[in-house]
Amino acid sequence: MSIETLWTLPAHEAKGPSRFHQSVRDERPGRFTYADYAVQVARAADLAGFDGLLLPNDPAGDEPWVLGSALARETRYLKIVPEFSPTFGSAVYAAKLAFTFQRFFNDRLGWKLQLDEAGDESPDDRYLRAEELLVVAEGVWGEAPFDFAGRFFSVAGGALFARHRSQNVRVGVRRFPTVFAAGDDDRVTAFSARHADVHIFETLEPRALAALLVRTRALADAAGRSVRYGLRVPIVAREFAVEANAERERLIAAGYPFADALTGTYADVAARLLDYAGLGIATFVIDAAPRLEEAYRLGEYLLPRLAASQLERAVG
Amino acid sequence: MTALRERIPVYWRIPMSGDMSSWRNAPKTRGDWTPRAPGSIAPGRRDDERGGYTYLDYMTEVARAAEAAGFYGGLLPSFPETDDPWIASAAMARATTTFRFMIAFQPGFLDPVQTARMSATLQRLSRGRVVYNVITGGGGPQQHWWGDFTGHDDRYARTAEFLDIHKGVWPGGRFDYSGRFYQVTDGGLRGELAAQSLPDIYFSGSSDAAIDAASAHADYYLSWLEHPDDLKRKFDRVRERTAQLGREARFAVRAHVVARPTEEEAWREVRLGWERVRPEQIEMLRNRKAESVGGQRLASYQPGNPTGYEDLIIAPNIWSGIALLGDFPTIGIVGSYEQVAERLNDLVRIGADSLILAGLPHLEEASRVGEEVLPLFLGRAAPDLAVAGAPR
Repeated sequence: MSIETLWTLPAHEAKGPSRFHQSVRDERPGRFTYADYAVQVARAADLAGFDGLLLPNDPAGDEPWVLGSALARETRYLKIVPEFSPTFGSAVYAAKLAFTFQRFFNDRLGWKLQLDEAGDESPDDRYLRAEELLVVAEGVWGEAPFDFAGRFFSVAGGALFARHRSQNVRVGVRRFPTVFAAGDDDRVTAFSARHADVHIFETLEPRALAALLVRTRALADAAGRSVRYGLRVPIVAREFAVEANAERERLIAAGYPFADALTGTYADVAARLLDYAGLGIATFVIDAAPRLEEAYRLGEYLLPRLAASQLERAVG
Repeated sequence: MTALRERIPVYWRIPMSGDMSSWRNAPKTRGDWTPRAPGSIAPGRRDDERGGYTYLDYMTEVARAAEAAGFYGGLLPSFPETDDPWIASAAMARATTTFRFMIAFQPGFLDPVQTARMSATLQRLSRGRVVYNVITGGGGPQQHWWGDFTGHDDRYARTAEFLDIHKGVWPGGRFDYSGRFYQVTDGGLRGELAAQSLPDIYFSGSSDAAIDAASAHADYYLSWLEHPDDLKRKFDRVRERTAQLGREARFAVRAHVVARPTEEEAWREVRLGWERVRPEQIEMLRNRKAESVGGQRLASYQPGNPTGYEDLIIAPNIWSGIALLGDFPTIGIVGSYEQVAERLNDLVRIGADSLILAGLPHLEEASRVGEEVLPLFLGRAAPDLAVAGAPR
């Protein structure tokens, strides 16, 4: 299984007001927003060879569906993965948004379900809601009218492609978005075993990760499903370890949660990732900052090492 | 006649599920929502293969043409068989500069706080170019298709709650709400999102429940074009109800237009379209059992056993057969550039403060109507409608 890499773009990251002295002309205020920066980051990730871009949902930041659509328009290959809560709206509407996205951007959408924050809802309800959301969205994603009556979502005669089918045209056929879920607790791994295409773990501790992989795989096997496994990895990589360590300290001081970041030379970090790959991790959700510059850096120095190593394995 | 409060924003319609090459031809030959036929321009399906373009590229060209022709923005409708306006607007925002995106949506389909976040994000992306067309659904099987089983009057009650919440969370700060349809805890917009302006709300619906909800919440009460007498009565009802609530009503009208250099050419266009209409289509439209009051009115404008397109002329330059030439549930304005402009002036005289126009094909007609009709609209021919303070 070839390794897949996703870049991470937070919903907001303060660039702050202009820091120029008032004596210097600055045309940016009011004209340049986070979206302009987000586009630069998405393009960087696309050009540098990352496979996708995760847009985490954060109430204080831009909404990932809308931001994601704008970013998809500005990129060519990058898979766009907005995170959203199952409470965001109706299941049919989620499917409808996704269908348009797939039509406009050639099947580049992924869905990251936000399952960790329950709001007013009990965790039981939230997981049941997420499950019904997927059942209904997948149900209407087709040509045959779909009926469902659940606790949270119902539909009668839903079929996104139906009208096209009646004319015997297959223009409606698009791929259902790749479903991502993340977390290490039993509930979310059990959910992923039954419903997700990709499950993203969070622990970087190899033994704990290996144990989680064994348990989740067993659950997926029991459900007769095959799930791809991923890992969220903060990374600080430089040519020399001393540079990486210094950079990590600076990032932590600036407020980035990079205490656990894989830190070291490009070769060191690549080796760590390949160790995880050896355990069965096939998708890396990489978190590094600053977003634009590091996309190029890791695209130039880290991704080729992963590819080369995969090639060696394939040949050897 | 009193001076108008504001200059009039004129919108164009963005076709969300393909476009027809003219009023004469039924099949949609633009876009990939219908089978390919000789002459199809289907971005994304060159030689039946998927390519680098998609239907979004055509929609974007319509938006650009309308923007260049002087339209204030575009209406992006939403139906089961269309692409979605949220995704489309976000994708087109950066390809345009001044063009507003009027997003059609049904409040029942998205959580109100989520909707506020989506809009505020789009306001940031577009620099404040978001407008709402709040619709509450025609009911029946289509509503079930969407997964919505709420009854007609309850849908309007839900819309009202939705808009209460929407306006409540918008300025930011703590907002809690407990209603029949929605519960919100601490839902206020945060950070930069709270700094955006609340989009104008265009609100449609002809029933009493709709007018009640619109009177409380709409910035513009939006109606399809109707016979001018009906439209005037409807506006009067809304104006009265809105005044009872201590608000001032504003009105918008959606009209499809067939505008040509001469009246004769315009009717010729209609006649050529009419020639392919089958009698059973007319009967179907006449007997349509619509849950929506607006849909019933459209049916009432259809004559029994018409002998020609002329039988569908219900007032000067007003033709009730537009719905037979394409999938638009409306009547339209047919005439020379001057006549169409004069009929639009009439709409302003009965109260319209905003217009949403459309014509086929949407791309070229945006240029035509913007370049030929809009310069004749208001202005010299209608000194009674001059905006206070506007240059002559």
